[in-house]
Amino acid sequence: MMKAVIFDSGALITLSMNSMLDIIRELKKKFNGKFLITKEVEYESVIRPMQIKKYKLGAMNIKALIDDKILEFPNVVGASEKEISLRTKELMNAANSVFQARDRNLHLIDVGETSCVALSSLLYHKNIQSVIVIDERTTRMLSEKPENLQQLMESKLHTKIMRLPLKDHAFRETEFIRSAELVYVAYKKGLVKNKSKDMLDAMLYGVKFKGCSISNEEIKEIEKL
Amino acid sequence: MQEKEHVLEVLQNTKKAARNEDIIELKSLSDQTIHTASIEQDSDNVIVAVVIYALSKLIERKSRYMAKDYQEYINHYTVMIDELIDSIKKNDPKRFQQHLKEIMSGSGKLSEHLRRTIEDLFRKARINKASKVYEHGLSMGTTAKLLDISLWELAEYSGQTGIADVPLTQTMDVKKRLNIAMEMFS
Repeated sequence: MMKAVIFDSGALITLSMNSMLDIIRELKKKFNGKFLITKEVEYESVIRPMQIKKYKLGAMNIKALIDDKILEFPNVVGASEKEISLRTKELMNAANSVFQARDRNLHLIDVGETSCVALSSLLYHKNIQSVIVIDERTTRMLSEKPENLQQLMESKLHTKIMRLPLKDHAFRETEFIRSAELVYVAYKKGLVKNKSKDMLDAMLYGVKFKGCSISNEEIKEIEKL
Repeated sequence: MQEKEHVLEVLQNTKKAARNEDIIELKSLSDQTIHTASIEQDSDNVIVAVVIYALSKLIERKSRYMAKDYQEYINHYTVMIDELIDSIKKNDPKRFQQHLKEIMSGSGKLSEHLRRTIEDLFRKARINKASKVYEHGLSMGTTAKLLDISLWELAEYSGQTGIADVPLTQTMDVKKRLNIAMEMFS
């Protein structure tokens, strides 16, 4: 079965801000499949930040991965932009009507994150096994434990949140990892020059402090393994 | 604009708090607006939260500015808040939005230094409020769009908060997720 790793913007941004994009290059050498990004993710991680001086270099480093075909667009596996766009709309409609507060649907997730789930869903039907690397927590919580997201929002928004069933199965069928797990795989496979435990610790906290949604407790657990 | 009555009350309290230089009250008012903004996802509500937070920071850093510049900008700010209140009462959303823009661009007589400082202040206020909205449960993409900031700014800022350490955000056993990753690369 063919495999694909789909990258969301946040994970690319986290690795870029930590000067750890080489991990993606090294992992690609060992990976028997494709590393994919959607056009929406390209916009968020490359095109828009190219206009912001502070982030331009980081964006150019991600662009280099695209230029070198380390990251590829879904057409290489036969998924067209049109298909992804249509599926993204369907999934956004489904996801953004799950929670309601004050008789109004809560618009939780947007086009970038949803396009990754849409691509994963299309790949599933093409018999391609995929995983999404996503650092933001909302899409992951909505897919894996929507009841936790409901509880979190109720406590933060100080209002009753109603939860309806998520009608589209794509979210539940999708598997998610974070840049932290990617870092761990690279470390375990000996793809990081410095093999010390300190290096693993530094990399895990590096991604955490640049937006990867991983707790101190989870990092401690990973380091014990 | 959604929740007009609430915004009106918040702005009236903002005026009072600004007059008393009550920074804590201003920050609390901004947070209250963010709760509403997260639900309604109305850009006017969001900007009101940004404007109130920026005002709190301006007062907090008062000693860093030239007294004349500072007083002039605070006066401008107060007049604009009156105008915002009036435009809500008269149900004039266009005028309301125009005054929000005027607050963020500053009055024409400001020194170059203060003008730049204010631009920076509003940029940072947007990022801070975005982090709050993300903390409330909206995704990074939705939040960045709502506050009109880049994902890079939001990721960098939110990574330094305790958002990821809330136990509810752990949705799978650590080992199980590592196994998914290891298997994919096996």
